[in-house]
Amino acid sequence: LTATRTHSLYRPQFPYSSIPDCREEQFHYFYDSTNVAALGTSIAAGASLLNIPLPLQPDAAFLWRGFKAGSSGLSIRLKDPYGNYLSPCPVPIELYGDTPNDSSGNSGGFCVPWGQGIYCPPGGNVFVDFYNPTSGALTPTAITLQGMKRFMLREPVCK
Amino acid sequence: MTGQVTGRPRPQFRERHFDYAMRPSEYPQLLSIAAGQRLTVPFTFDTDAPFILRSRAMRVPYAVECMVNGPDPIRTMDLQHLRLRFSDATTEFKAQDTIRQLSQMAYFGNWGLPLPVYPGIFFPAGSTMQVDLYNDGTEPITNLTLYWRGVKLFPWGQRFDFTYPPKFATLPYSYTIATPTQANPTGGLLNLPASATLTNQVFQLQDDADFVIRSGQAGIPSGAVFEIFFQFYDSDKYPYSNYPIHADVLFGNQTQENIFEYDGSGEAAAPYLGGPLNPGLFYPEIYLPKSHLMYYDVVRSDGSISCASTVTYPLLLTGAKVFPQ
Repeated sequence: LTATRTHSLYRPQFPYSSIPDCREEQFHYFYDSTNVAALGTSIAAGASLLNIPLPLQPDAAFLWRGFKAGSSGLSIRLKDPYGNYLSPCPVPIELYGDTPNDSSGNSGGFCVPWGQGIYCPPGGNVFVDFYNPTSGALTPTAITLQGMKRFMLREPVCK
Repeated sequence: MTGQVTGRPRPQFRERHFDYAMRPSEYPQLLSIAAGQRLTVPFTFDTDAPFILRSRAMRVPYAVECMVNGPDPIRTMDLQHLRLRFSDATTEFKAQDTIRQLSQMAYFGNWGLPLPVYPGIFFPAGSTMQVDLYNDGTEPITNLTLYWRGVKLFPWGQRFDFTYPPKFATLPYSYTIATPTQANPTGGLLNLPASATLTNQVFQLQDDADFVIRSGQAGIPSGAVFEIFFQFYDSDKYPYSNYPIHADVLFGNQTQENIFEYDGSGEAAAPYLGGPLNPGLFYPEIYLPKSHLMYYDVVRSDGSISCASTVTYPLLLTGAKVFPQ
């Protein structure tokens, strides 16, 4: 069983080649309370903070292929720019996107890679929900989206 | 992202993920291996299908003490002096002598990090493997469980042959083991008592897309759950393991405290290799059509720990939704 050019059924991750007429470059999006104010909001015990937009730049499409968030005790739920949730409910960050030895924000550690990734249109938004299942107030930690920007070399439009 | 299946001759057999646990309850020789003791234990594989050994792991139960803040696992050197070698089905051993397992693998294959066996070793249905064990330490090794992980081989059509549609799109996705509800907002195993055996639990897909299970993560950051085992089944109750498999072996949880001392100094490195970056893998991946279901059993046996409490236990099955196009 195999698939065509841009699709791989198994890891290793990121073994993808650019499609014709495009150039892909590594790109990271990093969000914390300095650029997304809501990520500095304290979330009370049992409370949720929903639909926090994480804006993407408008110059190129983003192939979202990895994710990283610091350990915080919160549960997290992501939504792609098309409104698709990536889990049925908020799930513990420690099991979902907290990379090894990364107990203090986003220091060290690779991202958690995803299979084929998600094509995000230029200028789109990724959304994040937080839920606090603990008995005390918690503040979200930084979030990193990792992947590639896809630049068009010439028409027709790449997708 | 999109993909398209292209034609290629399929292999002779369909591989199916399978784990064998070699437990002291069935192999009483593993209950206690005395200091200096050598022994050979034969292990017989199931008779329904051949097996290819692809990786292995081992563990002993947690020893837990109750501290002010709750249960805390005690570091152990029990496995540090375990030496082992194993044979193929013709009793040809794969090492000339027993090998110290500490030097073979990280965390003895726990936290979803089994030691690969490559190339895989083929065992015919019903064949027997010889396992040589040697404790070269000064303390007994008690309640040892060995895990032999790999794939069973089935003729095409004997088991479910669900697979990708000819053309499809995928979405990275993580299912929770239970369907989230208002009372269970994170979809964990709700109110799991310290001592429990839950059988025939249902894991059901949503009705919008097929799902392919590629990995899993499970556990509570505080490490409040210790002896917890899972056995998964297809919808016809055919299992993915011969017995329930410990969550540390199946899934990994980077926040679980490492209990294995590595040099006798009392130090134990955190299991930084495990976690969602390197989750416990299902190989080959398990493909389920939309609305399909699997069954699973859960066994938690922390009843002997006086401070163990009822918890909501999270378990994520991660992979991709598959949308036909």
